[in-house]
Amino acid sequence: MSDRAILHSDANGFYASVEMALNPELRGKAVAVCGSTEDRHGIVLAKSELAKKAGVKTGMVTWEAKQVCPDLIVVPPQFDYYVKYSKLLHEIYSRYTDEIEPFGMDECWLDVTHSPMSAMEIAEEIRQAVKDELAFTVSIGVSFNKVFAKLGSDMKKPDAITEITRANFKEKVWCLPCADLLYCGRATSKKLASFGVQTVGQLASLSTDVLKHKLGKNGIMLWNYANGLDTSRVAHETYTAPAKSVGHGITCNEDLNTPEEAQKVIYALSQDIGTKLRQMGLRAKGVHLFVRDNTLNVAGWQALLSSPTQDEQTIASEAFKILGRNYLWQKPLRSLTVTAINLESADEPVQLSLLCDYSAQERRGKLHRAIDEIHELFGKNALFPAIILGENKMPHATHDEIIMPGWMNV
Amino acid sequence: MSSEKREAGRGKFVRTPIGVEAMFLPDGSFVPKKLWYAGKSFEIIRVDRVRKYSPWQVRAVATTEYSVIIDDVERQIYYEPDTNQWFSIKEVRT
Repeated sequence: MSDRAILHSDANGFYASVEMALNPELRGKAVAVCGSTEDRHGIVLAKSELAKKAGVKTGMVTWEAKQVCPDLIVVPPQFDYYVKYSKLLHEIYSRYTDEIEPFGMDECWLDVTHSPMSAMEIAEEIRQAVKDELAFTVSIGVSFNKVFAKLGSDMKKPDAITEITRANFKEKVWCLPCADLLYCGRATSKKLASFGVQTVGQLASLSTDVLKHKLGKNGIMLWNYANGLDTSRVAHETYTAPAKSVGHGITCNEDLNTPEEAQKVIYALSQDIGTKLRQMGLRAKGVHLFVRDNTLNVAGWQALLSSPTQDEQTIASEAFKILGRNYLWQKPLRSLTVTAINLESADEPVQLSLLCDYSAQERRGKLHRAIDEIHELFGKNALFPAIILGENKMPHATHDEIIMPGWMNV
Repeated sequence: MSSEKREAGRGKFVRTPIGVEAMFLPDGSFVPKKLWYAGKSFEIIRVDRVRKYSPWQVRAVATTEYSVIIDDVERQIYYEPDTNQWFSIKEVRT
């Protein structure tokens, strides 16, 4: 059987590149797309090549970025356009295959094994098409598995193609630091370094017993990756990974100083979670609450619900109880995230409890359906719980459509 | 002058909206036949090339480039579906 042909395409400085396509006067300048300082999202989301060369890094606070690069031009994000360009990129990829797996907004794996063209020919055509049609560049990795294809796209930037074959992977990949490997984050790299493993080659030559002992099953996964043994498939373009959780978080305009202020935010966040669960036909068996205080310390707690639910009020009330049980209010809160966890299908049978009033639950279900219809017709501000009324220190614009890279399909 | 050559030039480029009379074909595509600019109309003798191309010098979102012959000279005009606008690119010497 012939080897697989996998491409990984990565749009270079995606947000910044889109900004330059929309405003060509930014070309050739150090540009950073930064969140709003007023909404306290003032960090670098993406930067141009020149800004990168000047030392600007993603995640830097805006003033810090301006300090390292005084000529930096800061532009606000235009998420609608990023979604649009992400779809246009996808349209170019779909000319070659329908096995396209997105990894965030600007990265995709493509399986072109069954194409009559060679993988390198396709990569070259995609590179040129993106440049011509969208006026920015991509870097493409070509290999026989997803992990090396991704590694290839990171090796040469911008506007480049890197091929990693079975014949050359030891020479090209094994000299790289372990941290370059997918899913080998800071903590794993540090652990590997603690027993003298710095490069992918050193990782590949270790015994699997040692890795299993030190890193658990992730150790075996990384060993497979290092040895070119990743066999994960590229998902079909119509595939959507089943949701493991549904969450909604926000950084507030101002710090939250009291439980009452936090309660408003928790209830507001939970509205969207209930709606999403009903749209997806899922129920939550637990709730997770994540908080960040005004010194950026973070904490998270979770609790199981007495019965699975799609009800935002139940989720909000449980999240608020979690906060009451765990947070001592020594410092004001800066951001909150409520997540519905341990999801199951809404069609799954439930073990009924003698002590629960199920007729009330049924009535609530009917109420939700009516509320959802009103939201669909008149928008979500047409009807909401009275508890959210008044100033709730939440920014008005939210961006629900942004897909962040998570785990690839295996 | 081809798009690539124009990109290599110096000066400031401005996006100049133009009026276009087009023929719609049964497959839904269209071919520009005549264009209007500054109160004058120009007959398009033929369309030499149609391709998806967004020029780098001006704001252009996923545009289609038409290389057209007007008065025996090849020119590029662009159609942007996002704004439903036809435009050409004018170089302004600074």
